[in-house]
Amino acid sequence: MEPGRMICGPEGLLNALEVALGLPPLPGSSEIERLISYREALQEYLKNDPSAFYQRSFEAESFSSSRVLLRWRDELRLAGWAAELEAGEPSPSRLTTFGAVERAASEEEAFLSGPAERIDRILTALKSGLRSGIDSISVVDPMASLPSKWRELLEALGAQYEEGMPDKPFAPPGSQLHFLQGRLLGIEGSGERAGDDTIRIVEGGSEVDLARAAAQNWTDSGSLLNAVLLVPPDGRSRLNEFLGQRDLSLVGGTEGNPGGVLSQLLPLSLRLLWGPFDPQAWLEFLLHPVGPVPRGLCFRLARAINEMPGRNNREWRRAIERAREKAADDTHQTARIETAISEWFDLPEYPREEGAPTEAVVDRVSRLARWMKSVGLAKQADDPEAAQSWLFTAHAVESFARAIGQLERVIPQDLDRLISLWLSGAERGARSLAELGGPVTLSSPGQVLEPVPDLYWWIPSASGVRRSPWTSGERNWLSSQGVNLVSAEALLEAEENAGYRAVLQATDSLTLFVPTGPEASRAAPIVTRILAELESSPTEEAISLIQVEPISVHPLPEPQRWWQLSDSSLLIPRESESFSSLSKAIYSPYQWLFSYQAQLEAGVLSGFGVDSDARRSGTLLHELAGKLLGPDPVSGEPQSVWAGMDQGAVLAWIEREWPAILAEWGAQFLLPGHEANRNRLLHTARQSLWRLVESLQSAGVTEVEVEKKVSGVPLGDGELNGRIDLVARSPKGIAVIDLKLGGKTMRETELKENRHLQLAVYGHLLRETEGIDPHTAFFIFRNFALLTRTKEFFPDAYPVSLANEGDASEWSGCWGEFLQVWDWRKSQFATGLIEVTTGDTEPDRTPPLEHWKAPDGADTYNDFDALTGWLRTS
Amino acid sequence: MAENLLEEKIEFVTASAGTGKTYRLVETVFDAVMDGSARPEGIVATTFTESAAAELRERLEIRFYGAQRHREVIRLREGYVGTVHSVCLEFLKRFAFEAGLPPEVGVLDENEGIHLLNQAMDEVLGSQSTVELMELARRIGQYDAWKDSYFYQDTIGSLVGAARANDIALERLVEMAAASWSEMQSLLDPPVDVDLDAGLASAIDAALRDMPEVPGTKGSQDYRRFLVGVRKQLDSGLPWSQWLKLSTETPKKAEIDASDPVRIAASRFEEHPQFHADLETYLVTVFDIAARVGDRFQALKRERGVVDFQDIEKEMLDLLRTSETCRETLSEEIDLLVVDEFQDTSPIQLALFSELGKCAKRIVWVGDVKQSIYEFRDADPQLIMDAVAGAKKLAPLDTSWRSTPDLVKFANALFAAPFKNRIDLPEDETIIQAHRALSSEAPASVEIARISSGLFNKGNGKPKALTNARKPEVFADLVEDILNRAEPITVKSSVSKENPLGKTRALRTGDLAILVRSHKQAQAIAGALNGRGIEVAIASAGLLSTPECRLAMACFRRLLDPRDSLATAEIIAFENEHPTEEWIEQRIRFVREAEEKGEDPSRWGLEGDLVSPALVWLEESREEEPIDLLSPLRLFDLACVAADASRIVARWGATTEHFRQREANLEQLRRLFCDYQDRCANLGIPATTMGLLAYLAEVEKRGEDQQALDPGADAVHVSTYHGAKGLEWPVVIVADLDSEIRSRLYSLRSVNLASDKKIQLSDPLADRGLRLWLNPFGKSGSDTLDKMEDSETGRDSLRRAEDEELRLLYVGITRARDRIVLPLETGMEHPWLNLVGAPADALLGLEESGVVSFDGSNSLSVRVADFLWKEPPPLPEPASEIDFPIRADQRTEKLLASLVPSGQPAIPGASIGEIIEFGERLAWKGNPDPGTVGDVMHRIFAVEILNPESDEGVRLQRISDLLAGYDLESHLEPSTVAATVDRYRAFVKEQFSPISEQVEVPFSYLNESGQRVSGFIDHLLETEAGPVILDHKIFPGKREDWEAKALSYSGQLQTYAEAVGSAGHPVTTRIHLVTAGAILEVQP
Repeated sequence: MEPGRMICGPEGLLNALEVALGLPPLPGSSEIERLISYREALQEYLKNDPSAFYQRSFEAESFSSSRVLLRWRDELRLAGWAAELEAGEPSPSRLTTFGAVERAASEEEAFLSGPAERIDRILTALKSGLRSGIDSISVVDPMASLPSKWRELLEALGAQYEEGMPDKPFAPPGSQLHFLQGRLLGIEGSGERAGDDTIRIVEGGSEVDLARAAAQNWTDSGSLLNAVLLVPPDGRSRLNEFLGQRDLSLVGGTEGNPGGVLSQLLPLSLRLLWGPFDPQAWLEFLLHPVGPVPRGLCFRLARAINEMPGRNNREWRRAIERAREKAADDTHQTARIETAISEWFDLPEYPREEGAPTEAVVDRVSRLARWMKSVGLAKQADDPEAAQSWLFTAHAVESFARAIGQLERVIPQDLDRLISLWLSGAERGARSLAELGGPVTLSSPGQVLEPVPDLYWWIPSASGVRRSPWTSGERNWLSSQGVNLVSAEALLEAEENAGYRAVLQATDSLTLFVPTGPEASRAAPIVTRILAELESSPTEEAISLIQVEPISVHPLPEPQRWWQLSDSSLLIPRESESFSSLSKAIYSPYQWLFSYQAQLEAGVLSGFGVDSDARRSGTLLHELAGKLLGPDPVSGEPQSVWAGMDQGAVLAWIEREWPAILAEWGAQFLLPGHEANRNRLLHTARQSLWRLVESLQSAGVTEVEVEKKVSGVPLGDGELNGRIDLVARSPKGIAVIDLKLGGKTMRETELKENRHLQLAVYGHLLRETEGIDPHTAFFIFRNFALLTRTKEFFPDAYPVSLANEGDASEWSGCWGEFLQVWDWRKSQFATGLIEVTTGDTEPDRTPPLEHWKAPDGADTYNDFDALTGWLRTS
Repeated sequence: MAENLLEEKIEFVTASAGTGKTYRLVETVFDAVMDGSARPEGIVATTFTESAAAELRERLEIRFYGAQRHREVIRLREGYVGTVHSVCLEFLKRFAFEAGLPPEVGVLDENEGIHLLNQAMDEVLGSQSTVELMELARRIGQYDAWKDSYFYQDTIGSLVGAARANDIALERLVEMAAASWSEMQSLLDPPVDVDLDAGLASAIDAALRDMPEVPGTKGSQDYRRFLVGVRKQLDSGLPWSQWLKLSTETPKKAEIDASDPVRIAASRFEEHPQFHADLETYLVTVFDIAARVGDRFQALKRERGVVDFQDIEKEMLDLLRTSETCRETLSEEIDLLVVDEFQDTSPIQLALFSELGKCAKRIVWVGDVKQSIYEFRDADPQLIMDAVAGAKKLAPLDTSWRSTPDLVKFANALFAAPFKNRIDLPEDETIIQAHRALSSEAPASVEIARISSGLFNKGNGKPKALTNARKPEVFADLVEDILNRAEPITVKSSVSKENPLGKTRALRTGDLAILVRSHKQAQAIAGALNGRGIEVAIASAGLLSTPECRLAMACFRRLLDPRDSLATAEIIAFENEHPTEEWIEQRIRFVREAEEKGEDPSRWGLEGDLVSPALVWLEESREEEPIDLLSPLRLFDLACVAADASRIVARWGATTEHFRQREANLEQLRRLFCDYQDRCANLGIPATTMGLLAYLAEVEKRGEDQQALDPGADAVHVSTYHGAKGLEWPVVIVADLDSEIRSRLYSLRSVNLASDKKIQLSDPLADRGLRLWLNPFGKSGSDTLDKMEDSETGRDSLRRAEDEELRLLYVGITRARDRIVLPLETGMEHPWLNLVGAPADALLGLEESGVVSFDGSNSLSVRVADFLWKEPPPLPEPASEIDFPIRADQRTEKLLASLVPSGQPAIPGASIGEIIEFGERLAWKGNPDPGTVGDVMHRIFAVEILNPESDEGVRLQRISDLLAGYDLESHLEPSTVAATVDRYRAFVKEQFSPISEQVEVPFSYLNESGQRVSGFIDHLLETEAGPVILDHKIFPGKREDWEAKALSYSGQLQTYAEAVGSAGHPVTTRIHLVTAGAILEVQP
């Protein structure tokens, strides 16, 4: 194309004219600023006319109401409507309202910078005699599909309308494509030649099949230099995956989803505005790949929140302290940490239902923009492309701050809506560039204006119909004033014709890739038309086009009960054992292998998350019991206030302490929508805690140690450690209590079968450290049941007898049995033998004590289930 | 009068299964347009699914295109063809201001809806009332102790939904609670004024006293423990199921006498005033809460500018009732209203269609009441039948285009009588004729598979029922038998109006479907078929647990976090290059060595004895791609491509078809990523990796992680009966004919409160009400429950359940095109099949193949075969190879297709020629952004060069406006800028004597390599000596940096020179340093 010529759309033309005519951008040209400005104008108008037609919708949701009304207003203006029209003869009431809103606005209002105003300015400049630099202009859109203001501008530029439709078929006579083109042009042609490959509709149940078929087609075609591919930008990255696999040139494109990772920082940081403290929002903010908080501090705080979902609690403070200690020698890092704390952590929260002052939100957004700008500037020297992304986003965030600044007060719903709007115009994530050798890619059929040998059309679709919002009365009145809105029919026809024009430009072949899977719900007009016009269907199944080669099958390993390691010396004894490690060794040796020998663990992302699940509920009840029975929080000394409490006092204590416990340990329960979970937990707490206290009281317990840590007890070549939930002491002796949320039946079974290993471990630990045989019990919160072997220590406990013969002592019998089984297991480990106790395999060896075999469901909570083999039917 | 007008407009067409309903709809619309009674844009046609809507739209367009009515197709697109919800949503958006809705109203997805409903419930229920409700729920059996779950949340949710679905005002709910209680109470023994608690307490105390402390038998020990437990609870409210249990439980014989008083005392629970009070309080409470929750739920949705599917219908109904503008406009516009699948219309949809119908000039409803199977989802077949009773009934479609003559005859014989007897359906709405013909060699269309465990009870000699574990294996035998027989089936597309015989081909796996009652049963059968190496297509959850998705997620996690050693191990295990023990040992060694050397263990799999290609590629991607800046979806794509997940998955086999299923599952997983990101964008919330993982966990927890289902797969389709609606297969096995019929007496029921009154189509929901009865005892049977079930309401509930089951059976049986197979278990009852009456007896009595006569006139050949359970065969060995799409061996480097001039690097060897300083520096104040100054100066130069003759005052004003437009008025003086421009213009004139000048000149050309280069030249002069290109740069740097700066643009200028070209004269290129007032010639 010779210099001086260009093909452009409406926006491109306006931009070029504004540059050539020396016109500055109109004030408030960002969409959000225009929207907020129009919203203000509409709101202002409602004060005078509270029954304006949009009042109810506006009150229900002002932003989308304003957005739609602004669009209507822009369409009216483009059709030639002006507020002055309403000043004359009586007009339909909705139009009168539009006129009044317009007239009440001052000239500086940002909404007065729409396309019509831009065209008006250009027209004024042209009328003043300024030259546009444009000698000639051709328009391929039908005149009827253009608003009158556009027609006026084009007329001022001396435009010629050329629909760009060829007057005869370009494809070789006798071909199916020729026949189709003839039909599209309304020329009765001779019969089609079926199956000549000039038209192909490739159908596929999935985009993968279609992309593979396209790649195959282009591999077979050889050169694509003369081909044109119609594909929207966001459809290209997927296609590229498969072009790359065939070593074809990539077609370039952008990611389909709005808002790249940088843009997401805006909603992420604004979610922190709202109270109550939302642990999940904080986790997402901290673990986002980029952010204003130094990474080390992020991970520490994330772990703290994961451990103890609350703010400024023990773990939180500890995390900050440790980050400070770690950075103590690095002044730069220390400064970054302190800045992050002051800029992001010590900020007020606002109740969602009340909203936040505008200044606070603007301040938060501005902080983010400042930080982004500083990162962008710092990157400029080494990575200008990245710097551009940062600065671009910083600029967009600033514009968001400006827009927000126009609001009186910010409520969460409005903020979410504005963010959603902002995201749709924000940076669209990663871009990739097209490579040489592929087809020329165009985004829409309207862009095909010259003959093309081979035209490919990737997933043609139908656009939605924009129906006129105006009643016939309103349209008639507008028409009487010379304001003629473009009809939906004209727009549909223009769209349809653009598709036909593209097809008519194809000289050799036309190939369409059409999905048939569940996502394909809307038939594209061009496909329907082709199918209707041709007698023989040109459809082919994508899968039948894909060239395949044999690949040898190597089925996934099937589950097997035993693994035999060739080098048993790899399995070294552990220096320190706990109930968890011993339990795994006995019941899930493969988990023991993966956890303790192979040291496999999930990464931070998989491990983090705040949910109101059973584990969290259990932790909360533990904490509650610990707080009631534990040491005095000030002196740290054991206390026994609980010993004098009656049921009412315990309940009153719960009422008093519950909110603080929740805020500190379970902030997720305080979020909207969690009341039921919270109350269920409170219900359990009320019922169970009194029962626990009652049991302790009736046992004459005088002192309770909470979370007692016991370590250094010899076991084999190593040592045994543990942390006991409660250790109760009375003149009669000592008892360990393990607190459980639920699972009464399982614990009963363990006691019946002498397999209550956890209690036995704690019993052994205490005996070895204190020299006393302790009593043992499980306390089940959900059933408020204290399960013991005997009633010796707890007279009102629920005793569970040993089901069969054996040592029926409280725990030492169990411990003895465990040692036998453990020896058996260790002897297996010594020979490299690992039992894989999953449900998909049948046990084939029994432990020396048969009842110690892995119970059903031993591997229910199992991180390693993908590693133990798959059934062949998987 | 309005009623008559409406009814007069309605035409109702009964379209039995397979009778060409869509064809009829298309012809109705086409004819109406062609005879001028309807404008294409005046068509409103609703269907029930997106796919049905798409098919209808496509067939309509093809019909009009085929008749050369192209303009009508375009006009048709202005009409409304879609699902009820999509059409109503379009109307609501269009008339949003009349409806008082946000005009860009969003549609709430189901999960978000549940979340908002919970939030509404939270706000309505204070802590105290929740706890009280929980305690009450526990007492009256509305609590599942095993799951620790209370039913009231679901009940309130159902009440809110049902009230809206039946257009019942929320404030009326409390009266419906009272009515429900009143109905229940009338069946209970009246309360007595006696302290029954005290009576029970003393009976228990006496029993405990009379029984030994440690009874001799385990049974009595348990009983005693039970008594101790309930005695403790008695003061704080003993659950009524425990009263029931006390009334029936006994210790062992020795202690039985002691327990008698307890049983007697407990058995009076029905007379207990508290029992009555509990039931009443619970009902009133949940109905009252539901009313308040419903209000709050609506408010929350309004605040968020969203509606759910029910709101769409309700809002549309209200809009039609209240907005004169809407009614007037639609009355002008709607010429023809067509409703497909009318039998599936819910009550509120019926009201909606009635209101919409008032605006339409003509109404056509097409449906088949025999296929109404959504009563559990608020459809009310009786209401529908009442609604169409007054309509003009057109002749039913009477020809099946789907099934063989024998299958049509079979369905006629089975269903004509029961539909007539049960729901008074005229026979001509059931009995149809077949269009298709069949050759005499064709196999029998009806087969009976007599299935059996092959085992017999020793005592009575009766056959033992097939267990849940064995039944699927028998089905697998049956499927294998059918597939092995590979009998011919007719190719659907070969049957036409003219050729009713069509062509045949051998049966393939994908031609067969099995219909079952539950997803669980479907899973079991799918498992058994998989065990035989038979491919299965089934709609089932568990997507995220499939090995392919586990692999993809492991790659995703590993890409993000190289320290995720579990993901690393999973990738190695899935790659399957090393036996499990080998890689485990390798891992342990690697970690130990890394520990000893103080090295990073996350390098495992990348170096040393075990190197995983997938991990290496993932690591390369981590290095090459900006991982931190990619969205979750992009990361997922990158992870799958980098690790070549497809190839790994393909190698697992066992068949090409199975590989395709696995790939489809990966696509399905990808769709979840898309859904998450779309949802975030819509809600204005951030899309993060953590958020995504939480979303996936939530989807999995809800069992909504559906595996891909390819309707075209060559696999046996296993579906529920409900899932099969609207589908068809050549051969269909209709399973579970022995299912029990259960009434839904204790579920929320919508009822017609004026059952004796004919419904008014103008307001069909005027008399709707809701009823809820409670079962306080869980699964335990009791006299109380027996009384309820024997009541008129109970019997009616059972009858309705049976009717629904009959319709479901009809839907199942009419899915087959060529053959139907009925598995009947020998010696067992078949309550479901028995709903058809005598024909069931004939089928159940058949022991061998032969001709069966159902009613004397209807006879057909039936094949009978026996299938006894036997040990399943071992799984067949997998194929050694499968087909995999060809790939290139490697990727070659390629040039970019297009170049941007400003991105071109400086040309080595480029030099600076002439340097001319023609004026003063452009002075500015402060620190304006150089980019902004550049932008404004480009515009000023452009307009000034194009318009050299402008009046001075006008041009100064123009410059002033431009500076103000860029907020630069405090930095630059218009006169200074004008002087700069003047100096430049004068210099250009003097230096180059241009013949012509152009500004902002667009260009686009292909360079030597074929790359497209496009851009704009700031200033292009045509001179005697050839073209001169001038490029403006704002460069406030020092004099000594000018040359280096100008040379840095040599690549850019080179592209300009190439774009302009010149036949004879050389093109010269120059950089104009605007701020310096200098021009430097750059010689590339």
